[in-house]
Amino acid sequence: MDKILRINMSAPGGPAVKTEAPGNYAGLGGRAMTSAVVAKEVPPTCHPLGDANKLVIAPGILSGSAAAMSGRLSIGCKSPLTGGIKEANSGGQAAQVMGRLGYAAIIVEGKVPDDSQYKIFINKDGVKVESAADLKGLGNYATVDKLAAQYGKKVAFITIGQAGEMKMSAASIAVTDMEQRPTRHAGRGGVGAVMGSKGLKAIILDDDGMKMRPPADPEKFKAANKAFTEGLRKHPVTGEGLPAFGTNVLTNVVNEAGAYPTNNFRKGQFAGASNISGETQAALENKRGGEGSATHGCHRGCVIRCSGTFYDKNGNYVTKQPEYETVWAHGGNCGIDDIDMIAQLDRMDDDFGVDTIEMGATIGVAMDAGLAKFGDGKAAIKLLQEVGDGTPLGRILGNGAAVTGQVFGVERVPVVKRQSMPAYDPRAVQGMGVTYATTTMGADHTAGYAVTANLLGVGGNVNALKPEGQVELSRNLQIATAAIDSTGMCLFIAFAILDQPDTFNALVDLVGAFIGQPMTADDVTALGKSVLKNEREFNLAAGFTAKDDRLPDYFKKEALAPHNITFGVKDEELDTVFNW
Amino acid sequence: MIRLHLNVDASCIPLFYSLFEKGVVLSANTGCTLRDFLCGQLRLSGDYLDQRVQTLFLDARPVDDVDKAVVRDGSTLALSAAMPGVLGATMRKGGRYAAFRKGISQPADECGICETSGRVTVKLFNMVAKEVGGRLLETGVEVDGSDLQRIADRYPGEVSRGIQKGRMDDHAITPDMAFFSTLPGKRVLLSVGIAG
Repeated sequence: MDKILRINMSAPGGPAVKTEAPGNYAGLGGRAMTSAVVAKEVPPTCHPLGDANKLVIAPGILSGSAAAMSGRLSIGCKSPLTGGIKEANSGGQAAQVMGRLGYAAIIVEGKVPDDSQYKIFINKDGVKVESAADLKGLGNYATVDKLAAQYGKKVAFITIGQAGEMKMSAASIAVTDMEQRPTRHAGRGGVGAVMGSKGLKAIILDDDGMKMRPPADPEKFKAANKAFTEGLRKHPVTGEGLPAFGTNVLTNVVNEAGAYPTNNFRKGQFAGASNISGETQAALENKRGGEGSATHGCHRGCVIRCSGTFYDKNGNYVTKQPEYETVWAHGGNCGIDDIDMIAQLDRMDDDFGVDTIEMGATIGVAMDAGLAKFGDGKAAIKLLQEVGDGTPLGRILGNGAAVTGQVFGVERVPVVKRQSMPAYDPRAVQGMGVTYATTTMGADHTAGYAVTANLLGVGGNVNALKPEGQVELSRNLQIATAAIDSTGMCLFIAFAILDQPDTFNALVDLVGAFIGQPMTADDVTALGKSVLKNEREFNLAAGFTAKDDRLPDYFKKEALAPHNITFGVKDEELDTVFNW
Repeated sequence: MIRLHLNVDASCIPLFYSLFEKGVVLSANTGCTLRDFLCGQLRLSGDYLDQRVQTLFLDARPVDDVDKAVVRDGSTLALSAAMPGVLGATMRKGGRYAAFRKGISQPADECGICETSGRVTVKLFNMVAKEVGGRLLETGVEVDGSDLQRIADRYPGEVSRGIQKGRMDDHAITPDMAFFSTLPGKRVLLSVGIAG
């Protein structure tokens, strides 16, 4: 990946493209790339939907190679939801295709001066910018259908739906999967609104005629990739649990722990959990059958295959297998225990192009406000349809839980930096609360998702049972996650490399053999810290202070059943997370 | 409580695993450690408990030490294999991320003597349900009749094809949809065997 593509949407006479060498960004990938560009080139106080913001799309450093699990795509900008820096990442085909085309990043700058829309076609011969007037107002599915008729079935698409066009703060960016469906999303933080504000509807990536990116040391790379893949396949999480049940395997466990936010974070256990668990979902999918039903990869090169395909009772395709976070957000968080309804909501999220976590949390807040009753799936579908239709109510909901809570006077709004919390109640899992509070991204579980921190030696080993362990662990996890987000690797590799030293060594060898120089724990730490440093500095310059690194007050006041526990990590402790 | 025995095709056994998600009730000796209960009474091997069962909850509290947590009359116990993500790591038995959930962890308990009889609710999730559930179904578990009806409603074809015959309180019954519709509101001591 030896070039960066810049597209200036403000250029006189229409968008102008320029290809340049990576320069100071050479060697960066994924989140390291997006956050470096945003930190360096975007004025922190700019309006997120203005022409000074930039949308940065970057594959990981291993994307486009034969390395297993290397298909994550990072998308960064100043977030219209949080007002801070944002990196949202996604599976799907685009990262691999973009890597093979040789682009380390696509940077979309400026914005169209009117309401025109464009699409960008990229292949081995170059880049073309064309009008996308015919796609205006279409959802992601219809957009992709129309594009596929023109560009064929072998290309990858990056698109926005109606929510992105309407510049809603919950808008996502869709990435097509192996079946060319727009089911994979860079969901968080309103990145779709930024793409919409630029006047960009779609990017078409065609790698026909391109080869896989070659490693620096092919023999070592091949051996390491084989060992890495075998390690993933033999581990009970990556080789059994995730393929069999998908990420939704977590529902029963989180619910049993009393950490499953239910009815807009009012309690920690949901009576209907077993009706929407991964076990129930997989059994239903297996019963209904169909191609890729309960076990399926989201991109070529995935060996875990934690995804699946959800068909209705008549065998018609509905959506991809809803993920744990989606099932929780639209399910337990809204008191809904009907897996078919949840799948329908997931389909609508993907089609309109909105973040499933943000929308589920928003509907939970709306239910708390009395707009619908908890447990009423039909009402939830109706509310979500308002978003797609762009009605005045839909515009409120489509701007997320914080806006919705503000408009309807709800105190219980589960957000940090105006971004909704994911599916783990921070009162029961307080270490997760530390991450929610302090991450640069707004409440985000994946910010502290990599469980490899201790193994990598990031920040040194800590005693997990001493009181201050939560803060130190969260810091180390955030550093490690920032580093892994930069490789393009799926975070689900974490368990296998945590438990199996030979698999960890294989990963280190894999990266080292690809880039041509050995990788050490110090390198990982330095990379993760540099990413976080860029992000923290951007947020500080954008006006964030320590007061933004807090959970909402009600988490400290309202005890969560069944453990009757409040969030107890002190503010002073939270303020030490980034002391390194 | 009624006693119900079903003879089913082997392929039909997984239909009943969903019972373990909500929990089945077992009569047991209580006042003993989790290890004693699981290995001594449920007959899990020590290796299976130590290696495969990575996540345990006793009364909704994650357990770190199976030799120090005590099962009592009325306890609810849940067993799971290793789970993904930081939450999975956090809930793991004795895991290095246990600090993340220290506010809800099961404290060490004084071990009593295995002489008290009681009733224990057992939940089995994911792979553990597949690997242990069949054995518990063979020996008998107490469930709500409504949960059996739910299985029949969800898988009518499989139930009608796969359940060969049944006995209720020593009388032969026809285990069809009509029969399952009579079960809600009743407690059922269910045992399931493979039709030979």
